[in-house]
Amino acid sequence: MQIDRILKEIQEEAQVRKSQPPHPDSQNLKKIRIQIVEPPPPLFFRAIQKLHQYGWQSPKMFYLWIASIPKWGYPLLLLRDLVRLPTLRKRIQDTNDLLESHFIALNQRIDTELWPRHEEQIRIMNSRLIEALNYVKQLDKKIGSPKLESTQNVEQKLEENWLDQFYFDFENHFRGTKEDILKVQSAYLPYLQKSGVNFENKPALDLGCGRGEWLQALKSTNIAAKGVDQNQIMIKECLDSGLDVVEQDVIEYLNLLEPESVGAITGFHIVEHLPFSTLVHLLDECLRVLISGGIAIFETPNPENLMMGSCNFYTDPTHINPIPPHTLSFMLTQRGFVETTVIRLSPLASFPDTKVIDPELRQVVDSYYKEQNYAVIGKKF
Amino acid sequence: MKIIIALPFLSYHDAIGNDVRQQAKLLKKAEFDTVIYASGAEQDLTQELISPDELKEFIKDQDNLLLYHHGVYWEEGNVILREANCTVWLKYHNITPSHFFKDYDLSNYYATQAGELQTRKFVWNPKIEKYIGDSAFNCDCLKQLGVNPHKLAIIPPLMMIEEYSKANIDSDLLSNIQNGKKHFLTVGRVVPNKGHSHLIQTIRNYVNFFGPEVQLHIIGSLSMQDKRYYYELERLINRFHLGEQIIFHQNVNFDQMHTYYSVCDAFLMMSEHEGFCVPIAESQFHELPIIALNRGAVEETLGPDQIIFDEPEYYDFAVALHRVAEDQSVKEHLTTSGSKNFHRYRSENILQQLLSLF
Repeated sequence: MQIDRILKEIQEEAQVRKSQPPHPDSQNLKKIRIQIVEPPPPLFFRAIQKLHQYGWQSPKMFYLWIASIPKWGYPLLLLRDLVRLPTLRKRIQDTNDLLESHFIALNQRIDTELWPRHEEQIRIMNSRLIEALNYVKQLDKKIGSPKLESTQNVEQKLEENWLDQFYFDFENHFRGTKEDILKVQSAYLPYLQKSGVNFENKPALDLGCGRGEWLQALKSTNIAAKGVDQNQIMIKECLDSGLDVVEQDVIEYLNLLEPESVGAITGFHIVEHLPFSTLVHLLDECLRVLISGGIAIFETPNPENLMMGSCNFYTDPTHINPIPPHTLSFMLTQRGFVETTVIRLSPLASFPDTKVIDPELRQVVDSYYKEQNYAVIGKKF
Repeated sequence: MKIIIALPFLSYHDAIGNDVRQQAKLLKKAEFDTVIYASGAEQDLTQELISPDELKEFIKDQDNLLLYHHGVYWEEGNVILREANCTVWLKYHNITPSHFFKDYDLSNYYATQAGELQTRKFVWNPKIEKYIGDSAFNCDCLKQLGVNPHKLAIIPPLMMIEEYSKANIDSDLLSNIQNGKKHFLTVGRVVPNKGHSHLIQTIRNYVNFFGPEVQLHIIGSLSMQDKRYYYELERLINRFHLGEQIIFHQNVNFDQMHTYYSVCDAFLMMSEHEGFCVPIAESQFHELPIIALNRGAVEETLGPDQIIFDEPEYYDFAVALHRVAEDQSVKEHLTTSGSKNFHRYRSENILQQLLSLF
């Protein structure tokens, strides 16, 4: 408080003094030069100091002596430098060599230490970059030439609708009843519940939802979910059951989604329908739209089962290739999923007594009775 | 654990040098194995340093601690931090912003610019565990550059102030000073950020108000590199005919310094940028009242209950100087609160703060 009072008094006094005439003595100040106590010594003393510092025989002093010779000093120094030119050149050459050897050593270090350490990552990044560029090119083409509804397209659409009915009937005939599928797929529910994702904000997404068995299972456990399928008839059936579904190509639908907008992704018997490059693209898109910590489940026929691999897989004429579990698992890991696990489901009901089987045939029998389906589960970091 | 204190150059009359030497001395006393590394040192101090090979060996040991003092650009510092495997703490003494030197001294301009860039580099160095600022102002600078506030700590620099109690009054100087005039003091290198033009303008107004019986002693090395700045000050002094009132002192020894602090009537601090202000602490030790301009860390160094102005109002400064020199009660008030504030800068208190970080 006291300091505020002092400051106020000072400011008031300053205002008063400003308006008063200056002090009489302040008008007659002595015009003396600026005073520096112990300024730097004059040139002569500095020369003496240098002599004392370097000694009169030193090269530095020699240089100074020559430079101080009137008129001839600097030409003499120039002459001396000309004489020393070859030595200087040699020194520059040596330095150059030294630098070059350092560069070589550095290059070697890059080749031997750094490149092997990062080679794989660089290659993966390169391949992804090329893919991205190709995708951009495709997009450019699409934007540049919008397709017209030609007669051919209409025909193709008709054909697709026909295929829809075929596939709906086919599934009803071969895949099993809705109840059976619901029972099998319920095995995946704990994985979603354990993932800790809040599905209210980020719903689960079922790619190729078909008749909506899985969506039904999710609905019964209060997990918000959405389905995507191209088959109009199946979509109609899902809508009739009160499920949230969209009629669209799965890749096109994924492309439209915002990054990290989906809590979990499932694809039951979809990956075996896709060409390799499309499958890779699908995995990349899944990884993009999944939130961190969200899981992706892809179920497909298990070719480890002899009958499945050699015959039953081809029951569905729209299947392309059977995918072995280790291949699909690797693909998920390679595209960036973590904690990838394989689970095998749907074993054949009756397994023969192992004691009866000839030991040499056991492996074949094992393969015959292997689980018919498997799923790969991956997580986004 | 071994503590390695690293700085570019170790010298006697320099705040960072004093901080380092005191740190080493007190940590050794506290039974920490402490060594100093510097690229160069004043002649007598070279014996206190370890060699580059020893440094390389020490900083590779994960159990050791490297205390890096950053107050100027240091090329070798980059290499040291790159090679360090031990714990690293950065003591930030602040770098004068380069713009102060732009119109006066290009070599200092580029040097400070490089220093600023190096600070930015250090801010993102993951090896540095703690950033210790001399003042809250320094810590704020680091925070603005992106340092995580949890990594920051404020510890004032250790000073050699207590050594003044062993110093003697220089009788010749004393007889020169006791000439019936009022004597004011300012300490610091004659460089563009120290606000010498404010000092000159203040003395001019003092002379106009109260007459020419006054002397301002400017103690601090006058680098001839900054000739342009010096000539500017010279022109200003000659314009106001203050050659008799303003005196620059070079190479002042410890006893003389003690004499100035003890005999002068007030201390003036008009610097435009200070990361910490050692002369303020020295004045408070000598119970010398202070008039200051509020810039950088000046206010927090000065402490509460002191005369400090937010803007350079030269009329107010002049009246304040006169008031402090003439009014004993004001002088006593300022010196009492100043002495109280000085307790913060006692070596044992600062050491305690440093040890609390371990």
